[in-house]
Amino acid sequence: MATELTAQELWQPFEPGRDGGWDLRAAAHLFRRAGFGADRQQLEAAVQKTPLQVVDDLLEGREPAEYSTEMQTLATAAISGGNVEPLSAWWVYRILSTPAQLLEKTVVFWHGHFATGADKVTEPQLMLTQNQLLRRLAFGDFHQLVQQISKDPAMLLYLDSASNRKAHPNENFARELMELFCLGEGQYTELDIRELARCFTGWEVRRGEYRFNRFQHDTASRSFLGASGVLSGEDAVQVVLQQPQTAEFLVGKLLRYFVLDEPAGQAELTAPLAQQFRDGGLQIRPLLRTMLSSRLFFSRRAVGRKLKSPVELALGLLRCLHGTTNTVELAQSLQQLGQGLLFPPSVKGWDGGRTWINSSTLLGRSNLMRRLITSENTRFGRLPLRDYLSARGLQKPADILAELELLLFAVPLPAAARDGLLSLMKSGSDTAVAEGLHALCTLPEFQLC
Amino acid sequence: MYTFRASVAISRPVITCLLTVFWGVMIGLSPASAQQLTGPDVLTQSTAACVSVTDPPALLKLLVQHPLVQRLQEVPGIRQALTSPQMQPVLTGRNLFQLQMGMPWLEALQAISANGIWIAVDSSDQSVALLIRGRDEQLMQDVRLKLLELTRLTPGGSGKLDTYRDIPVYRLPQGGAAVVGEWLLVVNKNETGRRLLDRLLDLRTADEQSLSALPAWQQAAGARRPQAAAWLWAGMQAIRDKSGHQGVFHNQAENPLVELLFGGLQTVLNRTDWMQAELQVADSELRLTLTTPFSAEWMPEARQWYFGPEAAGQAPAVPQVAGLLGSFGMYRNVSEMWQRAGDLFSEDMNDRMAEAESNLGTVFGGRDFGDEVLGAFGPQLLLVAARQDFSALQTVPEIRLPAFALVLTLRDAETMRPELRRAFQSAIGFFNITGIQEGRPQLDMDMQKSASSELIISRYLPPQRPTTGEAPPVPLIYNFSPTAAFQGDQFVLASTEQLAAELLQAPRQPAAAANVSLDLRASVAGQLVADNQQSLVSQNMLTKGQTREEAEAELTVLQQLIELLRGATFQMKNDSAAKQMQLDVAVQLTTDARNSDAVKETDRGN
Repeated sequence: MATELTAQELWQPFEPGRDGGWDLRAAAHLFRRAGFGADRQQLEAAVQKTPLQVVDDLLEGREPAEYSTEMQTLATAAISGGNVEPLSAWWVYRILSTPAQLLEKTVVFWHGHFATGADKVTEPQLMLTQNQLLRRLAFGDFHQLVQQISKDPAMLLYLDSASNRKAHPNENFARELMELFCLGEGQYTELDIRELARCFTGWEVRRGEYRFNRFQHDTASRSFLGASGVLSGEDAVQVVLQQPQTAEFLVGKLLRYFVLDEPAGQAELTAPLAQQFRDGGLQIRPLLRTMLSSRLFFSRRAVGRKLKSPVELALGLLRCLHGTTNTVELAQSLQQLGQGLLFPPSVKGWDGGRTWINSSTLLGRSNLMRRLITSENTRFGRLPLRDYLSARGLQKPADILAELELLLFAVPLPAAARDGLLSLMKSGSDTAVAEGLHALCTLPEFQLC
Repeated sequence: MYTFRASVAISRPVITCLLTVFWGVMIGLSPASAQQLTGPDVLTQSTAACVSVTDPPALLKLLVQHPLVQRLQEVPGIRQALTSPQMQPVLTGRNLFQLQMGMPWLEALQAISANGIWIAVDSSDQSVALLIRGRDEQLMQDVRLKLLELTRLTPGGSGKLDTYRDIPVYRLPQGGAAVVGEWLLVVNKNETGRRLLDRLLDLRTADEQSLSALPAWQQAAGARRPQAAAWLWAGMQAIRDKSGHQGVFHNQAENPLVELLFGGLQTVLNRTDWMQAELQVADSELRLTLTTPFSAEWMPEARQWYFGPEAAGQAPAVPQVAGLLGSFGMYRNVSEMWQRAGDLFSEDMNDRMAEAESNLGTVFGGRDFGDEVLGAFGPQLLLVAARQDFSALQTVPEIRLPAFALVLTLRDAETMRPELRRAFQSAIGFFNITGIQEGRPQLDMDMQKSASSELIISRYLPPQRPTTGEAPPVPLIYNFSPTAAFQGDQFVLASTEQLAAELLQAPRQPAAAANVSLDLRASVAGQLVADNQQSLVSQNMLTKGQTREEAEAELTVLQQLIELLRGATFQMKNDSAAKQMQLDVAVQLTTDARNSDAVKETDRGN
């Protein structure tokens, strides 16, 4: 049983047979967590490989050059009107179409981690540049990621650090660097904040670009987090990254994002991974590889034990069924549900987990799925829903339900719900199937991944 | 002399007389004889509006064989749509119709509607009646037996058959349908159906209740052009009474812009007894002309500014600039409208206008806005839009908008020119100050003077290129270089210096002799679509979730549809001799691909 294993053992690679089955359901679980979902064809191809091979494929994260160029062209056109909202729609479009969905899932993570809101940074090019930065470094070196995001103009503007003068060092960025980006709460003192802030004096944003103003840089010695000296901003970032808590903090966040909403005994659980992360020089790719191919990941402790975020809820449905839709409307709907891409609620990003569900968001989620399914702009494989399912040989309600359950559900459907759904879809008409799909999306089990 | 074997001799004249009496009786006994009645004879004077197609076979033939229809079918996107699964029910229905009628669908439709189609709305209960007079009684019985009977069998059909005065009546989801002699009647309310069936059964000729006996109908019919393919008549008194004189008949607009555009028309709508609209279809043009009685005396003093003295005010001539997309000209004495605000608008609107007047007067050096500022301009207003030539510009925006300009005449150019120049400079300065706060680029001012003209130009400073990374797309604002221009008594306020300069120099085509004149050029619109292809495709991708190929295909269909058109015009004219007003909308078509390219070349050269 997975619950009897030590933390070290939980992070060992999942072995089909010993640790459970490697079947379509297990593959679906992997794709749901390491991306947004997969269709049957992808699942059947996945079970022909080992779980680790599939994880490696996902971590390959490479998009064809033509696709990248196409997305760049689309982004440029989207922001040509000077508004940032179309960029959110562009990102939704990208998530729906990308062949590298783990990459995109990780970019969403980093966007919440290095939260920057377009409600404050209204220049769309800056938000696009940051988004591209996160994508470029999503699987890479965490040092490099933090160094570069620290100088990202959108980030500096969002944290009110567009101007940082030595007479009045801006402490906001220093605090967030430690608390939100690297160490977590309670891992530093107020003195650390003040001293660290002095390292970033002279850091400015002028005409949308980072600039170092040496005249405003405090060159006196400072001391924080056990380091002292005439430390530049880059040095200061390095000091923060070298704190042992950095690895613990980041591993914990990634654990909650990809594996478990509420990991019991988190400190004990994260310790082996944090050590691996430190030993590996804070490289993200190997960390994710370990997480996503682990015994814990495929255990009953993890499967079906996370709540879907709004993005996972809506885009997961569409990806599993080759869906396309009005991404502008979908982006707005996601924002109304509290997860607008490029519009995090605060500098802390999204808490996730249980915070996704309350009495009003439950209704909102149901309404979102209804709008999505019934929208005239929503197509599945370029077809209406019923035609799409028919083209896949799914004529009878029982067959349709079985397929949807496999693709969309992390846990089995309750018998009573199954009977009700079969009754709802009995006629097999377009409307009945759409109603049935919506009803599926409102089940408590559908909210889990 | 004819001799019967029974030894009865009857003379030829007697036979002729007997035959005449016989046929006369037969005609008298057959309901709604084809020789005597038309739709307006059957319809009653409670009819509020009636659409008439007196020669449906000719119209059907014209529509089916129209070059526009042929060319539409050649557009790949439309051809695809016509063969799509969604069209199958329509095609199946058509085939069933042909099968039932035993003849091709066009021939069948022509026969069924051979003697006219009328669609009428009754003022008393807003019921709608469709009257079709077919080729002959036998054919219409076939329609009843082969088509109307199907309504009893098809899903959604009410399945009920009634009779009224021995006439079978087929119940529809709303109302019913019946065949009487050569007539097919379809209504959506039973009471109307009974009333019209009575008339079809009992009437031999138009009576005093007939719509055709109404003076307002007769006047309109007299004004109708014989070549009209379809004709709409509206009895305005009944419509006004039914509306309670609200909506468009409420003789007070709450909005100066609405009053400016429609104020005079509101007066006409409240005075006229009738309106008619005629549709004319030709190979190269579709034209809809709305005609109504009109007299300059109808205009109250408060609205004299709308049509001008003797209702003879005309829109100005249009300068023919390169890439002209369209123009909108009208005669309106705006100064007088503004000063008549107390008579025209509500108290709330008057308060707001007073406040605006105070603020605007300050901009113009304390002058009275309504009298001195607006009064400085002549009553001929012209709004012009044209495609921009970006080839000469240093900074080309990602989204390319047309340029637009307001062209006015100054009554006292000497006095007003410095005032307007100063007001323009103040406005640019104010815009720059607010722009700094909002992070907008700044406008730099320039002036160009010649012997006859003066241009005050403002241009956005070019965007700074980043030292590293990718340059952002050039923003929308670089479509604009707001310019004020003067030449003689001509004043131009344009969104670009290029258009302002061209408007001062361009030759003018003769004015259209219309109070309002609107003109759009389709080829230039097509070029604008091509200019913005990237943006439009991207917007399609995001709003429909389509791939680039799909989005480009849709845009191509749009461009091909635009190529079918040459342009559109709208004019509002007063004919004081005929005491009529006409609103005329025309869509000019390109009849073939060669014409389409020729039109593009012509418009580019304009």
